[in-house]
Amino acid sequence: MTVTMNTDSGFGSGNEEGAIADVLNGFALTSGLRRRKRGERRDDPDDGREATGEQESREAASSSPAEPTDVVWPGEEDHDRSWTGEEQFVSAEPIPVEPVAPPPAAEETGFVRPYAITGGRTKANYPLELETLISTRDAAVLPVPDQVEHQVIMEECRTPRSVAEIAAVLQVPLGVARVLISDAADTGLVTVHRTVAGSENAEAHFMLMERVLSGLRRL
Amino acid sequence: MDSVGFKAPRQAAPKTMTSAKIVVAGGFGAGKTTFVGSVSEIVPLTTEAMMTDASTGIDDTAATPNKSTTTVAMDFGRVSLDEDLILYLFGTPGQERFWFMWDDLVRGAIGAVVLADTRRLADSFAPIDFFEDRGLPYIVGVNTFDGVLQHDLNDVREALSIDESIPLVRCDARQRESTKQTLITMVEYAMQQWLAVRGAATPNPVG
Ligand SMILES: Nc1nc2c(ncn2[C@@H]2O[C@H](COP(=O)(O)OP(=O)(O)OP(=O)(O)O)[C@@H](O)[C@H]2O)c(=O)[nH]1
Ligand SMILES: [Mg+2]
Repeated sequence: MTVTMNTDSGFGSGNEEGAIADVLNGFALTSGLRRRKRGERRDDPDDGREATGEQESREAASSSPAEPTDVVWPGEEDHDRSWTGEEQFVSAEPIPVEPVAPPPAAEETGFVRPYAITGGRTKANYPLELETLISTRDAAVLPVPDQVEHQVIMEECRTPRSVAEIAAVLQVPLGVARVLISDAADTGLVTVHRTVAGSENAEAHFMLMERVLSGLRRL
Repeated sequence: MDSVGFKAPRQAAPKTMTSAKIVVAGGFGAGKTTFVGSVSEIVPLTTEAMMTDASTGIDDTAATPNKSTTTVAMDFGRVSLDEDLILYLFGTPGQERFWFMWDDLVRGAIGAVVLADTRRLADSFAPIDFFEDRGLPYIVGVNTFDGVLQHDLNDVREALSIDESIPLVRCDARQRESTKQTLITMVEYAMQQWLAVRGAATPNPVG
């Protein structure tokens, strides 16, 4: 089985692919030295579109967590936000324009498939954005997790930590961190805080901006 | 704004926390890490997550697993703005070959700061194109390397071909105050944009 797993849930609309194609083509053709032309857009699909590969989506197995203890429930948010709960597979390497630079030598040894620690699973049950906050639950008795990664997550999230921070601390790819966090939430170890930002609730997004603005001014 | 329908009694769940995200983009050496670091309460963390994700498992028979572990430095910082509010800054290379990271980055973001190095303005084109395509509010921070503004700001605007309405500010990423002001300008602009868009047909600024 040789698929490329792309856990980015934001892919998929032809629109976005078109947008990406714009960027890619503009630069593939001119080495980035052209002057930008505003409003220059391509509408027709072209080979840039293949950059993203044809994507097959697999329906998320909509298994609910065992216990209703979390702040955010899978599928409960109004998902104008593009998280779909679907796993997406792309069939080709998504970087067609330039060959990827060779990795540093240190990276060449000891390659381990990152999804080994999730048993190959790539799906998260929650809309876990980079900035989504995770807290260890405050319950009097928490099960001791078997998996060391879950122990690390519980340790880290005694004060709220973002998905990105957890991925960095665990030194795993974002997609792997998402599965691990999702599992930890399913077993009631951690709480997934609701992520306000986004287009699903424009009012809330505006209020968030207001709060961020006054917070920045106070810094 | 954070209320959701709790389905069952919960054991002392932590207080509701809110987070927000701002993207900092720019070419190599434009000052992204410096910018993020100058306001972050943590040393900017680096993750190679998305690069690995996007290229993992290309072919398990190919003898080039190296290819799937190419690193890309995306650093992020954290700024606690209130007891229950944390702002994350994500600094990311603007090169188009990293475009696959940007979907995660821009989704739900308040907006972006494009750091422009006047010595290499063309490096700013890709992120600007991308943010314009996504309708993500962005401003441009022009680094004044060596204290010298090598271009008149109007020339920079012209060279970048960005609209008059898009804020273009001088920014010394090494100065916390300057970074802070740049972020304030960005959020103010994003709020203006939000208000402008509310009147229009598409209340979907980030896609
Ligand atoms: N004069 C001046 N120097 C700056 C400014 N911002 C960054 N620098 C310096 O420029 C150099 C590069 O800054 P970085 O923050 O590492 O830039 P970067 O965008 O993260 O670079 P890469 O991650 O390598 O692409 C460092 O030596 C900084 O001290 C600025 O606003 N003014
Ligand atoms: Mg850097």
